[in-house]
Amino acid sequence: MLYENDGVSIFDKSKASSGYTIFWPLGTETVMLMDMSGNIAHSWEMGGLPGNYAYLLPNGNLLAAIRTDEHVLGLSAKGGHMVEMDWDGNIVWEHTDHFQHHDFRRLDNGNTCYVRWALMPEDLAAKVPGGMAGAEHEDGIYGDEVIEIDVDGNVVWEWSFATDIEDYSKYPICPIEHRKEWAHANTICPVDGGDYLISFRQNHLIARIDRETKQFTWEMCDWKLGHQHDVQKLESGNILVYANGAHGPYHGPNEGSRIFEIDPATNETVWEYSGSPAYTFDSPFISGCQVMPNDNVLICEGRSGRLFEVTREGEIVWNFNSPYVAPNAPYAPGRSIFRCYRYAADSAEIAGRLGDPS
Amino acid sequence: MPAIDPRSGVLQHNAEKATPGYTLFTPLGLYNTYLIDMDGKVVHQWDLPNDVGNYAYLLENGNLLAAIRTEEDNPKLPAKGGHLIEYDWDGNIVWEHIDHMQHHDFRRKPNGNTVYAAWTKQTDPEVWKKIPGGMAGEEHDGAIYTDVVREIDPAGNLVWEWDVLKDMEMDKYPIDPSVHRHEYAHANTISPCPNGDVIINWRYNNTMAKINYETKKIDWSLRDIGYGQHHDVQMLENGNILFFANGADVHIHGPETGSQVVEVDPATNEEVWVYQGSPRRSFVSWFISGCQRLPNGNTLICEGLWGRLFEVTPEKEIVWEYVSPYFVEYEHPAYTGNNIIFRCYRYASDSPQIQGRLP
Repeated sequence: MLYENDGVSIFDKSKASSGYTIFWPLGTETVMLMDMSGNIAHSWEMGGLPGNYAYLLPNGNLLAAIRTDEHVLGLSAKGGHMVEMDWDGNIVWEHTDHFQHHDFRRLDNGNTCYVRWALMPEDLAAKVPGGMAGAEHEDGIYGDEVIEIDVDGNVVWEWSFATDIEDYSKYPICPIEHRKEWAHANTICPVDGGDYLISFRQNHLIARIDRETKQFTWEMCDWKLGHQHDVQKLESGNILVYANGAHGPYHGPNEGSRIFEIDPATNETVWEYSGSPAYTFDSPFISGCQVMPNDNVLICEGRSGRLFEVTREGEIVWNFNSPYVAPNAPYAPGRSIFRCYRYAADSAEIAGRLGDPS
Repeated sequence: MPAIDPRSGVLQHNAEKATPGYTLFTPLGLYNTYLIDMDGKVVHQWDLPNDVGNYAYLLENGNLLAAIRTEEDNPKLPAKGGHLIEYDWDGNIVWEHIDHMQHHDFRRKPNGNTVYAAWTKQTDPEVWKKIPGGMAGEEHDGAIYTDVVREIDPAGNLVWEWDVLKDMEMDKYPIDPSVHRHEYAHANTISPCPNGDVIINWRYNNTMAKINYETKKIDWSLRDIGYGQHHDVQMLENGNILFFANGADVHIHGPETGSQVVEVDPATNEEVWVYQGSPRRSFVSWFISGCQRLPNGNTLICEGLWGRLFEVTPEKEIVWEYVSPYFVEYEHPAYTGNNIIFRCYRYASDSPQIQGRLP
């Protein structure tokens, strides 16, 4: 009996962080920017499906990954065509890599990074620990690479989980996950110093990749992350992550998703959000989180297409249940949304092109 | 305030299509069993001495059979009962039996015996080796609790017992690899069939099975991860099996899942009728829950997590819908803030259970 009321069901103007929220319902071809009341203030027709979302850049343009039909591997969150579009939908930059999946970001220096699949050589694939025996991809095991390209598409830095991290044994795949990938990177987040935070779904692993050594200088590999998404570094230096809570051993009253803020010096949780009761906040896949200027947290509970904002005390001050239903398989008849972002009306991203968002 | 539909009480009632009668349920964490009419008004209740483990129901003799939680021998596992009590209409105890290891389910058989599930505590590592599957090293405080089914006569004598360790080929039904080894294997349903066989349903090894009463062998089973574990497995008059498929994301996780009520033909395990929410997310309860086939072919469904009880026609039309307003408002170890219900039943006014004591 979840979330019966579509659209914005809660909006406390005095407490919510004002702005426009961008989202791209999975299985549809339209990126939407809506105000605090759920009115669509602006949209982009993408001519294709998401791989896996779109967001606004500080230069005011849209950066998106669109699914291409070439080199379909049957793995989820395929993209392939990364585009930067201006406000009117004109493509001002693009790059094609049919193996791109899940995430892609524009760096401050104008470069773009993204995650891609690369088939592992058999000797390395044989080392991959855990997961369900025999559940490899028909081609073998696809490893994840991080690629950083300059504005002309030249590769200026790259990293491979398969070849740059030697000891796989520390990070076994969850026993009820397949072995098609090592290990389903769903987030790539550039941080200071040219380093990256990365989130691997299959083995509950989040880590910081050092640009020079290509080793992990920080990591957390823990069942309680529950196949996490959207790992990011906050201004304070803490790590924020959407801990999906998937594959919990006992699905009782206290199971569900969590948002964890973690101090990377100790890996202790310094703040968390859970539903009240816990099972009212649950999305076992996709999903994300963003800290607002007023320190509230905007949460994308991906599976049900629910976007909501909570104070640090856990009070819900804004809630939106997406009415946008995917028309076709595999996402029909769902309303799933991978990730969302909010931008204030006077932010660099919106740059005053829209009026008052309330 | 969670963003769920905040309404409670009867949300809809199609008097022409719904089955007239009274609905019995016990809110978990509260100590009352309620009988409500089709308008949601409480017309009768029993005040219980403690939490139920895990529900109560009306017998054909018109009495209430309940499992009340005792604190002795507490294994700290969910759905502990311990004190089986039969109450008359006015709440007087007319029969009782104590087995502190009783959990989840208990039924009165037509011959007057009572059958129920119980834990036995295994601390011998040699026994542990026989218990297959689950996460290695994740036993429960130095023990694994294995299930037995016990049948007692009215005097409390044990007349039949079925033990997973003795009577079951456990290796065929290993605990799911993502689950701990606290129990083999969390039986949440014990349901006697008309011919005396016993249906049992376990959560942690994704298995529902029928035990042949004479041979003590499992002669039917269904194991399908796609159902996301199950509750309230039962044999219908037509011989089909009805169950509540929770849709818990033990393995599955998208794009859009939810619970189902499923009827299968046990000869083939093919589905003959399925109810799902539309959208799927509007009907989902990852634990507890149940279903009852009513005399007119409708099905009464307990969406336990949300305290939502609703009746659907075979064409999947909702003709009665009720959300329990009984929330646990004190500090309960598990259920604070919830209006959770394990299982519910509908009885007609002229049924053996109600016997015309209500109009």
